[in-house]
Amino acid sequence: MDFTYVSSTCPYCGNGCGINLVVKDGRVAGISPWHRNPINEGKVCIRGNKSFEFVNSPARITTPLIKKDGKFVEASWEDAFKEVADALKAAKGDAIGCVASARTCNEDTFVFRNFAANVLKTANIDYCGRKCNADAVRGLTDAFGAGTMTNSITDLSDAQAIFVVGSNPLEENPLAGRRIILAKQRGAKIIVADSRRTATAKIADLYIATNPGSEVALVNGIVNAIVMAGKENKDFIAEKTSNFDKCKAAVASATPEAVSKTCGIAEDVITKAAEIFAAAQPAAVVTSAGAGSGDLVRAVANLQMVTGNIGKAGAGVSLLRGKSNAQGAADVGAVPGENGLTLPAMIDAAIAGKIKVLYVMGENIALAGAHVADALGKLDFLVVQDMFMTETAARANVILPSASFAERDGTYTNSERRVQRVRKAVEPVGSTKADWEIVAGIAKAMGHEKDFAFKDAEAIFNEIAKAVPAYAGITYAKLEKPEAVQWPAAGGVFGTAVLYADKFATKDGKAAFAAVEFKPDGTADNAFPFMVASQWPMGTLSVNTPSIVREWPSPVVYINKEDAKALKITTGQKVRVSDKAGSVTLAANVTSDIKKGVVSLPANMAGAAVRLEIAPEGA
Amino acid sequence: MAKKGDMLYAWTNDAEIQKKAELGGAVTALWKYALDSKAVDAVLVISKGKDLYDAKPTLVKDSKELANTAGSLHCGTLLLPKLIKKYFDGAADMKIGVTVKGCDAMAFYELAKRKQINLDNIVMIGVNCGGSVSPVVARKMIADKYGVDPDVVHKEEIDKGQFIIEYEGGHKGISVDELEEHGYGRRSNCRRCKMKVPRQADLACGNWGVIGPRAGKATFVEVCSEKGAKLIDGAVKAGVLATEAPNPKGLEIRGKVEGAMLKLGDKWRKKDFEALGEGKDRLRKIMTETSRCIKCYSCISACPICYCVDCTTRNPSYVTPGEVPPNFMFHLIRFAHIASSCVNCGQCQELCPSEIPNALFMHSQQVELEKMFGHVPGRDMELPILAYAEEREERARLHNTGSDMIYENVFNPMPGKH
Ligand code: SF4
Ligand code: SF4
Ligand code: SF4
Repeated sequence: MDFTYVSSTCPYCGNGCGINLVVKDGRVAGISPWHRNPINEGKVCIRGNKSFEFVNSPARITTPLIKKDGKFVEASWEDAFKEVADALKAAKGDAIGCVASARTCNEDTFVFRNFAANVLKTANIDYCGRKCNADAVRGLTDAFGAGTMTNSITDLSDAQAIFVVGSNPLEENPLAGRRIILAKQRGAKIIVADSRRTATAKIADLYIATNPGSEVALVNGIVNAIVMAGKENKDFIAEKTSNFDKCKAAVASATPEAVSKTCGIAEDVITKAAEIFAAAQPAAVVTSAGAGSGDLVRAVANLQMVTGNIGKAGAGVSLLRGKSNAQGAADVGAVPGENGLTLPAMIDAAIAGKIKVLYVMGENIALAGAHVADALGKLDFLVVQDMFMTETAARANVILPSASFAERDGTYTNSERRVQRVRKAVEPVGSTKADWEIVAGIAKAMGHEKDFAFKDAEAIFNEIAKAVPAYAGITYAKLEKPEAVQWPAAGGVFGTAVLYADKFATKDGKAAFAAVEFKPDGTADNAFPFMVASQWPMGTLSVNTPSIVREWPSPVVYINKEDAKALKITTGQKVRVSDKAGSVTLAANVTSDIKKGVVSLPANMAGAAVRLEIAPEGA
Repeated sequence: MAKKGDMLYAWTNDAEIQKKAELGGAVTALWKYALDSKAVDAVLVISKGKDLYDAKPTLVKDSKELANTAGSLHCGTLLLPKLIKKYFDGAADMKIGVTVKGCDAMAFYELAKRKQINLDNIVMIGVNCGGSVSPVVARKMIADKYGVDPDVVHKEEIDKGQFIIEYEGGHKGISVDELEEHGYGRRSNCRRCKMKVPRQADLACGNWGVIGPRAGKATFVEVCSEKGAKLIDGAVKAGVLATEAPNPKGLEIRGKVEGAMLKLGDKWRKKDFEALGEGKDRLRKIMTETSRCIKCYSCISACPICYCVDCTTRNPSYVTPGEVPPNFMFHLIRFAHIASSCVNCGQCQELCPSEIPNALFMHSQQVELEKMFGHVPGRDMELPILAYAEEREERARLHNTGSDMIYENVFNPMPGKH
């Protein structure tokens, strides 16, 4: 019998927890704690704990599939590559769109990007994080110079106060949540703003039950209260920032009175939050990349500049990521080239008949809404690379089966810029291949063998280190230590834990305040009386992990107890949730852990305001 | 001829092992003999992973590979018996040698009582354990308290109440007491541990009591079973092990060291348990702390007492699926099922992402139950009350009551329930 531990990185969220894959006789038999990893010290959440299950799932696609007469037929790699190569060759570059993934390795994304630019000659490449990540990343770039979390997950526990807004780390990024717990145990004050009384809200010293979508107003209100009280960090503002006046003018209207109305909270809560936050040094903000989070990120960046909480441990803006390589995908260039289309623009162009071929690597974009499904239906040709038969894969002309994280080498870059190894523990199931190998196979079939003849993942990584300035100096050898390297590598043996200790990465070296106006994104009215707070939806990995499905077998809509009583809805009952565009039917979960007048359902399922009805029998 | 109860100094004659092993290499030599003589099919030991701080279980089948795995690792906080249950089919049809610390030995017995491990197929060499330090804590402690870059340290050990490091350019020791006062040092369960010499193993080995010319060059061995005696005799006969009677003074010292460790364990128990308060206060504290649980199931995955195929915490009638934090029933189920047998191995606490002192809570209940019922877990094969139930039979009995209060029966699902 063979038995080994292979250290790797959790494939789920952007925390990048270390795990050991337990390999028994060539099969991943389980997950064991990797205590030595500095991020999670052996601890994991349910997803990390069960992340071996999908690897062994019988639902894995194990051979290439070509659709013939509406049915998938098993094919050889050679035939599949040829089929794809022919379709790609037949299309013009600007009629091809490439969708990269936030959960494939850096090596895959980099090769894919080169393939798009040099073989397909298209600038239309983007990653699935466009809708939820790109705004937030741009917000940080504009404010501080680099589109990434300013600090480290580990130093969150050094904070004296933590303000969590637009994020639910205890449930979504639990091992970042742990750092908040540690900070609290060391005496930090925790402020959580959320319309749901989440697990994170439950550990708060100050819980602010704000209306969904009103977070920017709340943050502006806090900034205003700090400035009004004269508690802003004047030295920091004068020496290290620009445009403070713009910000100050913009938040002036965010008086406690106005904000309390917008957010549906008491006035004194705002001043209290401002007092706690301004009195603590260092103080950190935790938020996450979500739809429309660009303004929120700018607003909290303002807050951190006003209080001088940037450039030191325990401070900063912690932007938590949903997927294991959300940071890396953008780092290595899965973003539109010159005049290239973003993902939403590609979808529109597909509907308009301008994009004819779409090549999707490791993402299930069909879940993003009905119009994406429409767009996929209009294409001449759809290539999907995935481990599972997702809703997107089901619409493909050719499916190219990917190896899982346990079956290949590579790297993920977590939300705190730590580039960590993914290590091959077992052979790929069936005839699956690492995503980069698949791309290289197509390149070869298109006559570009030479440029894509990489020996292994390490050889690709060495190219990344040459091409991406932030990755300069990082090698697989340096990633052998469990600390790995946080880019930029030049900051120390293990890279840079805290950005901007000396100066900012902006042109003038200063952090830039912004005037962030609160823009309501649709309000409840008589026809659609409930505001919507979104939950994280289940992703491809989760729906293929039985232990996770057992906890969350189907999506539910959370409804406040009193609202439910008025509508005579009980837990488990089927409820029709309708917005302007349409409706979905879900089981109700009646709870007191959500604000009255607010319902919560998985992201992408409905707009900002909805109506509820008990679904007719049999629905 | 060695026999149960014998005390020996032992060291190896094997030149290869001598080069690398510590304390005369007796343990490595014993495993070499066990492998070469086919007394075991494989040995499961802890070896160095990515660095000194990274403990990695390694299965050795060829005695030539043993030399690479020698040496103690105080940052090794793993529990091996649960791995053997999970990944080696409980040693059902493979003879495995295992180097164990006190908590490993106790966990082996508790799993064996529950028929999850076949102890007939297990050979245990115990090593005295003064406690272990979690690796990331150890690194921080070395940087902060010793002022030494943890990456230049090439050896760490706990000796005479000190945590000692050797590094390029020197060595340094700081008393464990002092470290622990500053929040560093051993895991909290290790501080309370009173299984310092694992006599449930076949042999109990260590450096305590090795004095005189053999100091540092031999291992003190207490023979704890017939299996252990046979192993010693065989190894001596094969020429890989040499033994002699221990220095009587050494024997005395060993007793004293053990006594001091036990006293320290009592001190910590008193401190930790008193801080929990009593009665309602204790309950309130436990409820408050556990209310942070995110239901990652790590405590259950790692606990050597948990073995049920269908864990009650996943029964929807007790604990609502997907609800985070789960209601208190989740923890009550663990308490009810485990407390009488908790061996204070610390896994449930060390692996808890919500920083809940689970092992402290369970251990505090175990000592109360021990006072009431006199049952000591992990020491011998005496069965706890709960282990008298045979799972299949018990589930069948419950199933036959026909009550819908009975949870999902994986062996015989009820129609209409899933
Ligand atoms: S917190 Fe994220 S990275 Fe860590 S175990 Fe959970 S899903 Fe994986
Ligand atoms: S309850 Fe915790 S300390 Fe007790 S045996 Fe189980 S894992 Fe070990
Ligand atoms: S390890 Fe901690 S968080 Fe995880 S289930 Fe156990 S008590 Fe809850």
